[in-house]
Amino acid sequence: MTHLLKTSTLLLILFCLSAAPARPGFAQDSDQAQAFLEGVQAYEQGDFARAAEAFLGLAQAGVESGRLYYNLGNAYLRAEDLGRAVLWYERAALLMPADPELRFNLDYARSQTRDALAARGDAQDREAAGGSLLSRVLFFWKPMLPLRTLQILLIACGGVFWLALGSGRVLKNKPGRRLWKSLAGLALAGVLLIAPTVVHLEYHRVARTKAVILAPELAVRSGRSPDATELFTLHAGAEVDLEEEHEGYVRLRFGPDMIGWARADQVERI
Amino acid sequence: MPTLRQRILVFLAVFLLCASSTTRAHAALAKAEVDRDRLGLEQTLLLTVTVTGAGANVDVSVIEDFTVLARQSASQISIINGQSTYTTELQYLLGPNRIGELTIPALPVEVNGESITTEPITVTVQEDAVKDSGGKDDPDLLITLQAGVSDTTPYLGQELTYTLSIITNNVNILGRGLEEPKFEGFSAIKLDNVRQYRSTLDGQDVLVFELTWLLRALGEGAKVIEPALFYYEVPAPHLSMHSAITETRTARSKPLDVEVSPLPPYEGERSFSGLVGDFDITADLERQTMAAGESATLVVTVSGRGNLDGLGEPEFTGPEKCKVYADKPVEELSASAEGTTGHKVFRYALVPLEQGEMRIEAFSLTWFDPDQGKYVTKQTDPIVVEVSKGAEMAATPEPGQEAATAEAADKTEVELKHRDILPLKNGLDSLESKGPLDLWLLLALLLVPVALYGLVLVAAGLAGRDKGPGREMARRAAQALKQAAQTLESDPDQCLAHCSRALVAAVFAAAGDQGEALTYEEAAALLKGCSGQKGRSTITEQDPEAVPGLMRDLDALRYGGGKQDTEAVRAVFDTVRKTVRRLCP
Repeated sequence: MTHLLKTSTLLLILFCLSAAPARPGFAQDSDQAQAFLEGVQAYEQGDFARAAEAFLGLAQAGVESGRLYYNLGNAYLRAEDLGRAVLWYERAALLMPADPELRFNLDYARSQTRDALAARGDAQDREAAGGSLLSRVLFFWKPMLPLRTLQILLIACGGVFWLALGSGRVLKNKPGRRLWKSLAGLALAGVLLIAPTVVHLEYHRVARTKAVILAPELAVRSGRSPDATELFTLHAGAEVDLEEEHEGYVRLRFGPDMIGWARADQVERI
Repeated sequence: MPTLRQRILVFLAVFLLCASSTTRAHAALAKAEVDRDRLGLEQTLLLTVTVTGAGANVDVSVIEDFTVLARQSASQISIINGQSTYTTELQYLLGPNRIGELTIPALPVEVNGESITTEPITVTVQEDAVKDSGGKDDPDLLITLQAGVSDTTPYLGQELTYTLSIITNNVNILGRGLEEPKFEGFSAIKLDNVRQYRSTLDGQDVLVFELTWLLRALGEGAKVIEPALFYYEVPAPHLSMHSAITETRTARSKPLDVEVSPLPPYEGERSFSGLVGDFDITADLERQTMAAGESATLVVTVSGRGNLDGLGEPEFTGPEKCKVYADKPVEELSASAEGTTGHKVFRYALVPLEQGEMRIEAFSLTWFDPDQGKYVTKQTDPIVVEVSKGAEMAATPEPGQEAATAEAADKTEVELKHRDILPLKNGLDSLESKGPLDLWLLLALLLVPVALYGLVLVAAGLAGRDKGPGREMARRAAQALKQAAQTLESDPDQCLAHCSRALVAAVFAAAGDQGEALTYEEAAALLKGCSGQKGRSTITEQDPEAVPGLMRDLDALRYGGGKQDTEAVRAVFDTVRKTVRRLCP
């Protein structure tokens, strides 16, 4: 092998070993820790509004933690703000979908919402509940692993694939070449399995089409005016899909076919 | 210079352009006006916003000094001299939020895709109602709201009552509704019974409706209970909204200040239960004698007045040599003007395992009594029971002995009796950011290995070209070997010829030289020269002898005459293939 070939192969190996992003450290800011503990104390004393305010400050300062969002959900739920409780529980679910305490509390919060889809039929109910059969099969680990973990797995499989391919290319002896090619095949299978879920989650993360109703009661109308015909009413905590936003109003969809316009400041994206 | 005819034609064209439009779009206009500029705190104001243009949308959320009580709208089209004008009139019934100079700010209006604003309006609000000219206000009408709390300086956790009295001297007053106070910073339970009675106020007979809430502060510090609002109707012929002849007015209570004090520090030996109020605790065992293996129920009852709903399970591990089975606590509580009263019962099934004296230690309860302003502790008496001999049960089976088997219990489905959320995650690892990677970072991390692989390919290509003639001879050897494989079955003679060419090319490739033919001695010499050299680890010491020997075998088969034995040719081909691959890695 020439020096250049050796060097490039070594670079590829080193990259794959170091490509995993650095593990984020604990809170280095003592102010954040202080604010967090004050929020916990306020919650335990029963001042849930103050607890929510403390946790919200941390979230707005850039702390992106499923556990913090879970605490926000708890504080808002205790403060009887069901809409924001569901909103923050849903945001926590994006980061730690398999957390059992979160699922329990989110189920409880959802049980408190007032709006339910009319039962229509098996296929439509399933679609409303969790997506089509195809999406549930393709994205079966969506409720198990957070997006970050899937991203890291995808990067790792991709790196191993290219490393194995490169090594198989430069190795002269057959057994070594065969081994690397097998490894490349396995890594490729991993990429093909994970990539659709990552793409699907990235699309929803960027598009942010899911939202929660915050207002205790929200009139959904036929047009962008307070005088337009009221089509139906939604309540705090109802989860909707946003289709369009225009001049302070959003067009939302609840279930498969309940569509209308509502004030954008009464709805917040997950 | 334009001719007269040209000038006439231009004039006609301009005239026709100006006159041709039968429907001209007017610039959008919006005007806001009120029906009065002075009113009392209990009176209402009618705001009318007139907008020319279709599809008008007025944003009244910018009005902070008033509350919008009702709204309506109407549209009309007028055609004058062939020109049509679309007008929308929106009316809002407003109630003032305070006394003083109040402002209705410039209202944003959207119409025909344009954004315009109205002019701001200033209105004076005074304490007393303003008499309208031609109005039929009843000078003797009395409606007032009074609010009070049982304690303006409660302790945290202490219950207090908020009482709202609606006082009127007109039993026929029409009420639109009551907007209850928000009770921010408190948990509030509205008591069902509304008290109604007659009384006297300033010498007048009045009717009083009394509503009560039970409050509990959620935190310490100063808190304000906002006023309640009561809407009622009075005759008002000047108003046109809904073609009604009544005017909506409001009566409001005063806001109340409450200062919630923290509980004083607790320095007692027993743990504080968290209860605030007045309580009692008892403990009873259903029987005073029992046999080992029999069960008896211990009932611990906490009763009293206060925040009993917050009481947790008492610490109780049970006597020695006794099994304890705790039942789910049962509570019976009721809210009244005196506070939350009732009891909470904890039941334990005790099964003594041995004969002897079983002692149940005293239960202790510590609570804070706000009336006394101090912590109070009460203990039950210890309970001593004589356990006689019975069907003794071992705590664990002895080796060699069969454990006593109980009958299988009837299983019932576990059902949720109550629902509540699980507690906070209060570890500092909750501050650890674990959000997904940025999209661009993800793409970069996915593409960098691809780029490095490309670099490896380029490097491999360059390395290959450095071989010079040796590389070319290795390529020829591989080519000849491929042809030999293809002709192995169909033309063994041709196969042997290709094998021979492949072997010669491989020897040249190993030596880094180029050529077409080699004698056995030349081949041996070339290989001897390469053997043991750095980078030639595939050439062994036996090759300078073995390879020429293979060349001889090939020539013998080719030129030996007769039909070729396919198996022999195959064996030679395999040997040549291994040798060529070894000489040309």
